[in-house]
Amino acid sequence: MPKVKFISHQKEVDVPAGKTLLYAAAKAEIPIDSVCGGKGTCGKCKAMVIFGDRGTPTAAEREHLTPEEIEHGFVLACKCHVLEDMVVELPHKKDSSNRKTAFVHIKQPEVVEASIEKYLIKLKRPTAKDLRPDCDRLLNSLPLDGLRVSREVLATLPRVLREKSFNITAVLANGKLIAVEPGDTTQRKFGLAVDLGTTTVVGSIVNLYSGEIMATSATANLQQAYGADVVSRITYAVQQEQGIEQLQNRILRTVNLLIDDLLAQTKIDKFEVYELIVVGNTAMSHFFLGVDPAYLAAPPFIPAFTGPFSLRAAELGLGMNPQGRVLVLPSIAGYVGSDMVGVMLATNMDQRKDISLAIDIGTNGEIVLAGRGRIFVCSTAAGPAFEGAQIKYGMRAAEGAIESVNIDSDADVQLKVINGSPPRGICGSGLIKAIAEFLKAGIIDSSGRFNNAQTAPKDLSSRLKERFIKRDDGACFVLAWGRESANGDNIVITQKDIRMLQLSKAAIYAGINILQKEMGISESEINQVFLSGAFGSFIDIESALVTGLLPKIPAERIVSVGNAAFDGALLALISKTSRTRTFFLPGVVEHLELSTRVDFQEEFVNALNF
Amino acid sequence: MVDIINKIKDAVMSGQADQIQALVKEALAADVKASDILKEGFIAVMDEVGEKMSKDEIFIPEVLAAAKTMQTGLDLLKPYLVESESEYTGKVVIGSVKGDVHDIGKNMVCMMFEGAGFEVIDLGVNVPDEEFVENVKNQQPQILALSSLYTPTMLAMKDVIDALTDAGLRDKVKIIVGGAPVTQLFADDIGADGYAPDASKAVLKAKELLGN
Repeated sequence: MPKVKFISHQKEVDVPAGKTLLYAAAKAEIPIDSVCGGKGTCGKCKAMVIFGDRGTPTAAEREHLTPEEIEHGFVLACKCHVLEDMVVELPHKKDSSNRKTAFVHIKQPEVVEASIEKYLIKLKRPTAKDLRPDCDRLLNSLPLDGLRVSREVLATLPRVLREKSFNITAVLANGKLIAVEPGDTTQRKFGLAVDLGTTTVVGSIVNLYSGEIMATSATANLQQAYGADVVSRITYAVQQEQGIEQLQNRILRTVNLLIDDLLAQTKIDKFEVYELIVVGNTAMSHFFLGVDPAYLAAPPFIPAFTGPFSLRAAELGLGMNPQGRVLVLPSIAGYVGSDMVGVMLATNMDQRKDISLAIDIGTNGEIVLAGRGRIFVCSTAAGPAFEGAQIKYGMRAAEGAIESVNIDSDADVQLKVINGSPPRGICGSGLIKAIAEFLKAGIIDSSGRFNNAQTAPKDLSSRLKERFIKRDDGACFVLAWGRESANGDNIVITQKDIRMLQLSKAAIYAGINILQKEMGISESEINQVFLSGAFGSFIDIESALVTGLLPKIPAERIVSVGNAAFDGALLALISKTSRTRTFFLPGVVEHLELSTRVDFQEEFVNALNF
Repeated sequence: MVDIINKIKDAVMSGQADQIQALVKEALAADVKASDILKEGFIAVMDEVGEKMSKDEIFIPEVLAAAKTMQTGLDLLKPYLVESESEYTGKVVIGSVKGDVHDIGKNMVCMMFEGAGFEVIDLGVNVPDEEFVENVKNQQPQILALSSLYTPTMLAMKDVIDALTDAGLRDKVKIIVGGAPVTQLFADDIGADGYAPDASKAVLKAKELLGN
């Protein structure tokens, strides 16, 4: 089999001849941006073949690569077939994972109320007069009646009892005996909370006595090789033989990598980890459990289950105590997942007396409006613009991404770049800020159309006016000239980029409007707005208001709450009461399917202008 | 005449639906031929609208406002046009395929076709394969236009084409496909006759396929 060496990642894999580079990268567990999932339509999976036959450029490659790039050996990883040994360089990318862990809220709960309980028990030794079997001996001494000993516990019970002279610790999860350990282990019990993000998976290991977070870690979701968004992955899962298993294996591997890292950081033994709480979008919950997601992807978007769903860690092969419990928190609907349930829990929306709105912005914008005794949710297809996809110089929030733009009408453009390095592109929060600045400076008009050096406001400085340029792809505005950028290209915002952002922001705005209509309230009655998720944490709130991504609500009522989905998972881990609250949400929350509503399309068109 | 035609064009371009009927009446009163109002005014300006849309210079709200203005004007103009059918370019059956409920993009395509003088039969959204087949059979359009804005429903376009083949109607009609996730490669793959990246190019593609 030909070998493919990825020099940028110092990894080498064997792949069957004829497989694509994207396949090879997936096998090497190197995340590549593959927004379209290998269809050759997004052009994001660029790679450079340094050695080996790159084949004839395909039509898709000619469309997405410049002649110079093709000349220099650039290919689309999804279209380049490996026929012989190859050496490949991937564009340098620092993962955005670090940025994800930076904003995890560390909230100390008021009362820790874990569902894992440990009891130290001294059993009577067997004697000639006490011939009870080990199992009965154990059950008779346990503090609760009606417990069962599972086959797995029974399997090692005889030695476990005798190892520390019949001193044992019984471990109960929700009142069920899950493990028996030799000696006194009552000082140590740990649990995990994990947020299965489409792009990044975040997890923490928590001391279940104190509620203290011992360590937090994030890792790229290894499913990315099968598509950047869940719809591509569902399409893959449904169309490929064993696609569902492949996707399940990938997410389980990702979670195991994360668990290994957390255990290594804290020197906690995997057998001391008894519980895992999982949140994620509905598709991720399906993938995690290996459930067929086919009908999530097409109207009317029916999930196989909403849950909650509980099972033993061993059933998934997770690297924690095999008898430990895994609990996937309930989802609401096909596109409103347990991550949103986590947000509701962390923000207490379901118990607040006032009217509150929570928005999680990603490829899908999930919106919750709670108040007047009701909770409405919807999901709106915001498109990938906020994550940098389908934007000419769009990229994820990683090193080299422009994250903020300031425009001073009588001076020039000022950029803020992640890690202060030369700019390579712009991330979603940078894009929103740029466009808000464009509006304020009169670089674009309220319909979103670019002005030009002639039509722009007179007081615009000449340095700014120089930045209006025309290219083959239409009118653009230069944010960073080639001499300042990482690869020598002018980094521009194109007219099309602005149109993409208009589509995205209108989808969110229209979604919010529909929920308000349904509840019969106006925006002025919304007392609190929570912005969750990575994008919501980094977005400049004023820019969100200027561009009309958010309704006109006083800025002081809007707060970023970080990864609230994950906070919700942490709360569910350490508080039985909180956890139980989530179980009722699927029955209480009213889900609105926007795609079938005529009024949504009207609201959407009305929200397109700035 | 040039003056009033230009006023009509400006009104359409800037989406002034409330003024268009008065302008059309004014033109008719000044003895401008209805067919000239259609051709020099509406069709010409919708070409311009299409071109600007292709370049992203104007966007959905402006296109929809222009289209609405044109519609309002056409409603008034239609009775005067019955005599001359010379502007009739062809007949289009159009719809978003099964599973797909997106309306806006498809509606813009409808309007661009109408603006170009086509008769448009809009089957709406989430249209079952059979309904496309039935309409191709009964309406005998020259063009069948299929829309999908959503990756999982793209393959439903192929189902429609296959259903037409099974019904022995495939060679009776030219099929064009479009929508955000659709590409030329995909169109070739499923055996469509043409692909267009936006509403105005759809009209150009249709005309090209019809050989005019």
